[in-house]
Formats: sequence, C-alpha cells, structure tokens
Amino acid sequence: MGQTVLEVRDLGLSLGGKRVLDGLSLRLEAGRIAALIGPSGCGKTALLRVLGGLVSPESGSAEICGTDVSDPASRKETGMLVDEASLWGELSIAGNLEMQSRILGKVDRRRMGKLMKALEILPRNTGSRRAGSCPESIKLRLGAAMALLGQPKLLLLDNIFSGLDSDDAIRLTALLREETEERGMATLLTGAFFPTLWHASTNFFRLEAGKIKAHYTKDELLARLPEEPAGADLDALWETLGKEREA
Amino acid sequence: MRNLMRAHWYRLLRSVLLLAALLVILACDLFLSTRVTVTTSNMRELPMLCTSGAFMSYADSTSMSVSMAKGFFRKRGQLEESSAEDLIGVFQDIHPFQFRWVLATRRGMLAIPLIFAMAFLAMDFERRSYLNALYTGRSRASVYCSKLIFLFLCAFGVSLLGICALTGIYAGTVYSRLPAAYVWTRLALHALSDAALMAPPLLLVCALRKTVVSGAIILAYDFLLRFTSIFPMSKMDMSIWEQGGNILPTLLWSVGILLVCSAAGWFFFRKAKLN
Repeated sequence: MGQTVLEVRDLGLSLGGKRVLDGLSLRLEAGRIAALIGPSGCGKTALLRVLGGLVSPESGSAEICGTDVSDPASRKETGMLVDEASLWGELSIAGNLEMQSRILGKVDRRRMGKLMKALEILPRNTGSRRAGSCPESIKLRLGAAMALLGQPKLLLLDNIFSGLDSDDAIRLTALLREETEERGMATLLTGAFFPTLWHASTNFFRLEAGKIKAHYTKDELLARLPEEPAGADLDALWETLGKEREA
Repeated sequence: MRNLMRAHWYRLLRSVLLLAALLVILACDLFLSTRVTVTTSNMRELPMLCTSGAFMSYADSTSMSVSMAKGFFRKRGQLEESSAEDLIGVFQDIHPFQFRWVLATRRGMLAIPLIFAMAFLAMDFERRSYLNALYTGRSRASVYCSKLIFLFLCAFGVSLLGICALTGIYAGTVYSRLPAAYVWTRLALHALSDAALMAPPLLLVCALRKTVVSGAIILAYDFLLRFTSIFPMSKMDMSIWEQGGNILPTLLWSVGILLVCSAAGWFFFRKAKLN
C-alpha cells in the first residue's frame, strides 16, 4: 500500500441551506489517479473547495500529506484547478506560467517548457495571444499546466475532461500518467461522465448526495468490459453498477 | 510573502496596457504642469503674481492654470509690467514658491496609484487569480498583505518619482537653492499622502469586488479630490513645518488613514467568498 496523500473523514458541509457534503470519506494513495464521479450538485466541487481552503467544513476532517486542510501549509505540495482556470488575462500563456512560478518561489523554465510542450500550449500552437483571449480548451490546459508546475504530490482537477476535445484529453492523460509514474503523484479528477474519466483514472468513486456510495478499481471494472470498450459500453457499465448498488 | 511580491512586480512589468495607461497619465500631467509653472518667459507678465503672498497661498491649496491666474489677478488690478532688475530679484525669490506651486498642481498623479488598485485588486477578484496563491499554500493574510504593501510601495514610488520629475523639470534649480532636508521631507510627505489617499478606494475594492463598480467609484473619488480637500493631508500644508511647527499630526493623519483602511479592507477580504 502506498503512502496516503489525501484522507477525508466524515466531511459535512451545507451551502445556502443545502447539504452538499454529508459524511463524505475517501482515501487516496500516492501513485493513484482517482475519479470522483457524480451528477451536477452532488458535492464534487464543494469537496475541492474544502480541500483548497476556500470553505471550512462543518464536521469531519480532511488531511493532505498528514496536515489538516485548515492549515494553508497543507497545500504547499498541492496543485489545483477548481471550476475554471484562474488566469491573469493580460499576460501571455508563458507569462501566466512564469507568474505562477514566482508565486511558488522557483522559476524552472525547463519544467515550464515541458508542460507547454506536453499540453500543446506553446506559442507555435496557440499564437502569441493573451491568456484572457484564448479559447476555453487552451485556458483549461494552461490551468492544468499551472497546477502541475510546482511538481505537486497531490493534483486536484475539477471537471477538466468535459471541457477538452479528445486529442487534448489524450495529451493530458499521457502527462498525468507520466507524472504519476515518475514522481508518485496522486491525482483526484472530478466529472459527471464516467467515459470521459475512464482512460486517465485507476480508481473510481461514485458520489451521490454528498456521500461516497461506491469505490471501484480499474481492474475490477476491466473484468466486466469488452477488450476495447466503446463509450456506450462504459455508460452501460456505470448504469449497471448503479443499479446493482441500489439493489 | 517575498515570492508574492516578486510575482506582483513581474506582473506589473509585463502588463503592457497598465504601463501604457501610466505613461499616458504621466505625459498628461507633465503637459498640464507646463500650463501652471512659472518660467522666465512668462515672469515678465507675472511679477506681482510671483511675489504676492495671496497668490502663493492660493496656489498651494488648489490648482490654477497660468491663464486662470492672470485673469484672477487682472481683475484685481495686480498685473503690471516690471523692470529687468525687479525680475531678477523675483527670480531669486520664486524658487521655493514655484516648488510649492508644482507640488500643489500635480493632482493628476493620484490617478496612477488608483489605477494600480484597480489592476491589482478589483481585477484579481473578478478573475479569481487570488486562488493561484491560495491553492499553493499561501494564507489569505499573506496574499492580502503582499497586495497591500505592493500597492502602497507603488503609490509611494510613483508619487515620489512624479514629484521629482515635475519639480526637476520645471524648477530645476530648486534642489540647490532650498535646504535638502526641506525638499526631501516635503517630497516624502507628499508621496505618503498620495499613498494614504489610495487607502479608501482600496477598501472599497475589497468590499465591492467588482471592477466596473469599483472603477466608477474610484473615478468619482479621484474627481472629488481634484476639487475638494476632503482630507487635511491632501493639502499637506508645510507652512506649519516651515515655521518650525510640528508635522507629527499631519504624518499621523496619513499613517492613521492607511492603517484604518487597510484593517477594514482585511475584514472584507478575510470574509470574502473567493470561489
């Protein structure tokens, strides 16, 4: 068993009078790419906001690398992209990465170049336009590059695959796998659709009404799928798993 | 905190539009100052103005173009021709007053720190770029403090630079004719007053978190400052100090405004939902 990077226990949170997290618990080990899958409003983004220190939970606890998330230091080795990329619109793509590098306290141009190349956000791919005027898919890839820049131990990406086309999704998946293999990084991806997260992830959590309802490993699911599953197969499997759980 | 300050500095140098806006304002200020400065060419027409105590005290508390000044004194019948000898005497006497005149008529400089506040606070709220620092383990306090210190340093630096440029260009011999302590104390206090004047709009930006609304209020505030001395420090009446008086109340007023507005801004920033 790998080192535990993220541990969430009985997390409870209400926003605007609605219970968005209701005793949510999950654990994520180093070297895993986990997908948190659930419909809109089930608490995916709320969980990431708690982990990002933007809201405090009403009950339960969450720890990143053994430090409670109420301590900002817990996020020193975390990369996050929640909701949408938070960019400095007037700066170029490289300028945004350089700005983030300075916040992190280390300007590593090789690392910046590697990420830009891997996600195809080099000036030759995107032109020399300002980040604020880039299409959404470029903003998302830039946001992911900024989250990965500091070589985090834990990467949290919210709903990113639904905003990428298939080529971009393949590039990001390859990069996540490479970072996971090289450094043992743990990643938590969120999304509403199982097929979009299938290729990138090794573990799958079903989230409903603010609570984890089931956990599957990729090996468990592979045994129930044809050799090269299509999107329809994956959709059907997720639906079947849901029905089985209810039964 | 040091890393955040470095990042702000990097962003400032790369923000072409912001730098262009600053240059335009600076150029406008320089241009406008040519319309209020007293030079050897127009001194022949203004001996009474230059030696008149009434003129100087008026100039030190509000801005007035040379043409306005001429009109003002022509009505009073104080504008008359003088001999060359008189002019030389006036020229010797004029420097301290000219220095004060330039300082008093550089209100446009205030727009620069206000633009900094817009670019580095209001826009960051809307674009959520604060989150990049928070997500990498920086506390809200360090994010807020780094912004605050950076903005006040910018306001102070730009103000000092502007004053030095204007007084240097249009009253070039001032520094050699006036006591150095007087010149630098006065420059520093003016710069401090500009930084303090930026504090209330900074507080507004933290409270409102909307670029357009904050921008409109800041413009209105800047407009108000041009016509009204709503803060005692906006006058920075150094005559107290020149007469051997205590400048501590003036200094405390500026520092007090800075501290109160900064603390109130932190109250809003700490409570703000940044997501």
